[in-house]
Amino acid sequence: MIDIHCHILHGVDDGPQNETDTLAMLHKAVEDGITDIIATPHHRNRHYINEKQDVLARVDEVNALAKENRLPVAIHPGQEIRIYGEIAEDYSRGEILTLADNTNYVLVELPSSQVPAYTERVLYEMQVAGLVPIIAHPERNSAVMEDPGKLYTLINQGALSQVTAASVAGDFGKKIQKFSMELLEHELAHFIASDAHDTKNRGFAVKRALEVIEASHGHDLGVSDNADRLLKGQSLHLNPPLEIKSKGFWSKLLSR
Amino acid sequence: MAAKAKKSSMDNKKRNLIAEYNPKSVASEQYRTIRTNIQFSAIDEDIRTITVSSSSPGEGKSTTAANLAIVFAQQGKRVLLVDADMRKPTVHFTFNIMNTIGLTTVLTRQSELDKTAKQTDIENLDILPSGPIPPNPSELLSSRVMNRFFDAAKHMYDLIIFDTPPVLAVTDAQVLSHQCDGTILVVRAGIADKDKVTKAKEAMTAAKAKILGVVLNDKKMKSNDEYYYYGNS
Repeated sequence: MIDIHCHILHGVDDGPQNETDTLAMLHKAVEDGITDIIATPHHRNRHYINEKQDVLARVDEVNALAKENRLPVAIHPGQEIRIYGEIAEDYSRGEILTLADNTNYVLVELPSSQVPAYTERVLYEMQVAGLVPIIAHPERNSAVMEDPGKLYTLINQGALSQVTAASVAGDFGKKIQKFSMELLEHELAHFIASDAHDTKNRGFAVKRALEVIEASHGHDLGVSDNADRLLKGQSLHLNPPLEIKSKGFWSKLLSR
Repeated sequence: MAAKAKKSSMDNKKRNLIAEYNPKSVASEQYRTIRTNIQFSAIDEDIRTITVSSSSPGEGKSTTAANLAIVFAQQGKRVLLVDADMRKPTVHFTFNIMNTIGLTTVLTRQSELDKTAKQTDIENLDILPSGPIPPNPSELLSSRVMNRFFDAAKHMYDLIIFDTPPVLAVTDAQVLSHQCDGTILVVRAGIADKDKVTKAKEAMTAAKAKILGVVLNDKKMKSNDEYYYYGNS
């Protein structure tokens, strides 16, 4: 399995702070069945800036670390970019890292409690520049939870999305688990990824997430294949997104 | 197990493009009948540009547009199927291609038509997906920009078919049908609302669209009259 969203690089954001932490995470990743990790340190959120060149250098270090310890896992460069107005421009200036550096896919993070009005415009401009935006963990965005139509609009306009494995596994509660599954089932989410920051509180849960999906569907809804294709820079086999019907008064009352 | 999901979605695609994958079916036969009716509907001039629309969502516009494009291509015409449904683009899903460039990038002059339209496995059929959707897509369909598009497309193709949003949802279909040689309205049996279909027709007439006919979709077939599975005007 390929993990397309992971804070594995040490000393660059709120992920591991030193090499020992990173090594512990690498062990956990291998245990979780992960063969490839795209390192996606936060970029341009309020606290961290991780320019392309710095990420590339640190990825080399961590790959060397994995090799030293004979861990069968490859690290690829990437960024988790907090949405801002000039992503497309900065990409044309070579400041933005796509996932694995040689694909068109870019991981974009929305603020946790809203979908800014300019989101559609920014994602459009990114696509015109040839990029495919992937919205990170929409299931944890409170505006999307309240109105899934907000996410449907963005997916309908060509964006993809990634739910966090721990959400699917149920680690953030039943409500987020159920919502994550709905997003996957409605073609509103296309990937699962760890978004791991450490080995304790925000670890890998990819294997467990896959088990949950396979238990209810008999297959993994295409998430493994999508991640494979992403890493190879190929286009995905997609189906049109479906709207999540908002519940009526009675079913809301009954499901309480 | 992942293959299972993909298999079923692939089957859906084949079902959608029935005129290609099952040309001997009753439905394919009906698409060819529609093709002939369209060709005979014009007396003195060839129909070069067609808008396919409906009153409401889910009546079968995209399926009809794609299959019509296929049966015209099978006749040897160079056909371009354009996804002008910028509210719910689906052509790139049906044909399984990337949607990074398409109609919108051609209209905004970010790409050229000849380098943007994509060849399909079906001989003579090219498709132009919607491309990235801007926040106010209707603005792109203004006549000045579209005129340039029509000129370029007619130069390269014999027939251009536009898949559009529902007439009653936004004005895109009216704007386009005004500029096309003909318009086809898809009506789904048992689903379409009579008043809405009438309203859609009125809206089209008001836009000076030339309605070639109505495709009655999904009419239930009686066991003994299989030839009437798909009605047409």
